[in-house]
Amino acid sequence: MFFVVCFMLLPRALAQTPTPADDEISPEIKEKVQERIEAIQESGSKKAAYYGTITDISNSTLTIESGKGERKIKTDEETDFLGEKGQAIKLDDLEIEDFVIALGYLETDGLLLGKRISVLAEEPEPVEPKEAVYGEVADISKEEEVISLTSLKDEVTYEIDVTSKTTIEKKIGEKTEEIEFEEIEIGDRLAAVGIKKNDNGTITASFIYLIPAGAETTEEEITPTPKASPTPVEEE
Amino acid sequence: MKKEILIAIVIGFALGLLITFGIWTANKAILTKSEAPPEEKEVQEIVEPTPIPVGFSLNILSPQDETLIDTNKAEIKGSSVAAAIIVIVAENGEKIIEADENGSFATEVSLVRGINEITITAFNQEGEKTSETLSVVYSTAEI
Repeated sequence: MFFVVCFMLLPRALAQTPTPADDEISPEIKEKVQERIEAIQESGSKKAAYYGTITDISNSTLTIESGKGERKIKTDEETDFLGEKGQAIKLDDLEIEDFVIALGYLETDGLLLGKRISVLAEEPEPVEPKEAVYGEVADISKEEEVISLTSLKDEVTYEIDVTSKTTIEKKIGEKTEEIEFEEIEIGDRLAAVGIKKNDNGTITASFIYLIPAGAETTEEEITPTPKASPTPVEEE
Repeated sequence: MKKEILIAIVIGFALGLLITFGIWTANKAILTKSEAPPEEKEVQEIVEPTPIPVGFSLNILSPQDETLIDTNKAEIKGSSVAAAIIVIVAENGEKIIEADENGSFATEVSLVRGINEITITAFNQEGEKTSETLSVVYSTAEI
């Protein structure tokens, strides 16, 4: 009877599923998980800064409209408030529509514990937006120093205006070197960044990064298979 | 007397058989129940893994958005696809670099006092474009 019972229970013990080995997890997944863990750890009470226009002040909490949406800043008795000229002010002196920069520590749910809140005289003017383009050189006007660049994705052509202030760099081996406009050739690939003129869409480049023709697939460079040399035959 | 012993043996044997049958039935039921979930688990394991972006992406590791920096330089670190062209537009100028064969990139940019908006744009070899803008504040004020 005892043996019968033991015999019946035995298969269960043997049927335990093995724990998956750590080796089954790819290093890429491990790396991504590690990065995510580090990011989460760093976000705990880290220094942060919000800026924007005040839309609401209630219960010692400011609500501002930043370029990235609504942000809330909690204030307490330790919070320093500074006016437009850097003078000490109080929470009550803040007004709706004031543009503020708040420095503090990030708490849960994106709430900032404000330690120093400064009022700016006016909202900083947005800088002229710069456009980044990448493509293949279709044409070059050496006299006017204008490059016609065709986007690789949608084949849109951009006119890139090169001036004396434009920095042109080219990667040579592991280093980058500054080069002259004359070294750019049709068929080269380049990335350029600059201000786009509204009238004709020309981009006045401030920086150009050149990838010479044939060098764009460096990561997939294939070493040519050496040709088999004929076996020398000894002449008798 | 012998008859009583014989009856006791028979009853005992029958009782033993009954208990054994009971245990066997219960054991079978437990086994069937515990064997079923692994199949579901297997299916879940196939369906559930966190998707890892295999396509074109741009991931900025540092600095974090809306952070406070107390030095006049910030190291921009991130990852994209192998040999991606990375264009960084900061308040103080621009930089164009290439990501390495793993898609990683790192470079330093100068900051201006106060508000800094840094736009990072990545292009892959096919010319596809993706970008992200970081808002950071450079201040040496003690908080």
